[in-house]
Amino acid sequence: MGQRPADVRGRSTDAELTGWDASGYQLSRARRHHQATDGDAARSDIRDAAKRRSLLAHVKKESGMETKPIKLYFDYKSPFAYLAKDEAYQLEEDYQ
Amino acid sequence: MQIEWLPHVVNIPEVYGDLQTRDQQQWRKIRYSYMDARRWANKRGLVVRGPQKIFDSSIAAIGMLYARKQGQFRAYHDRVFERFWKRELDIENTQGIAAVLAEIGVDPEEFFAYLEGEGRTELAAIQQRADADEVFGVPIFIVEGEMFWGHDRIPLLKEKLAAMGLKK
Repeated sequence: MGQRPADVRGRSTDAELTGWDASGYQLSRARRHHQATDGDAARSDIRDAAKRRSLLAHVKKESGMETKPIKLYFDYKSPFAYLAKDEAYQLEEDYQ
Repeated sequence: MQIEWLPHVVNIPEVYGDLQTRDQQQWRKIRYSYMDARRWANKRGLVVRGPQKIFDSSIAAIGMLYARKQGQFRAYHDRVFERFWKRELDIENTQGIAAVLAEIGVDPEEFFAYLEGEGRTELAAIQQRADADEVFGVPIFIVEGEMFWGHDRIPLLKEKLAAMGLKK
């Protein structure tokens, strides 16, 4: 098995983090352990990026963690709503 | 992160008392609130001049809904807030709101029809949602059913979002 590339050395794969594989099925404990080896981790690094995003989205959805909009009630005649405006814009930038 | 901006027309007399009937305690609280708002505004380079009457913000709110439909939410939102608090914009004046829309490239003519029809209906629906969400003031953020009232609660909101794994 090849070495894990230097730029990803020590990182966990998405499957290790989530315990779910790319098709959405939960990994067995043995398989998770097996995937944690360097060789398999290196192979995971060349997985299609879209598949990984899809996996994470699936897991988040299954666990109720999918992105939900924040509601913000405001009124133009509230000075405190005015004060919150730019910080709210920043939230949209800093959080997904 | 997507914020759903919901204009809520606060009933000031109901929440803070009417001008003629406020008691001393209510006036003290209001004076303090404006002082506190100016203190924060000064730190951010914003101008907050106390309004000279209790405004009905519904026309400005409907203007925001209309601007958003035209993809001009922030341009509208920034101008209305800044100018109202500099006392440069009367938010009860339909022509004034229409002028803001025209300035940001939104056709104000169709706004007038929207204001009298669909816009009122949409704003009323948002007021109903606010009641269902038990909104009692602004700004109120709600995420996963948890409420955060006030700009100074944003740090707590950030903690919540981070705990949800939503920090980029």
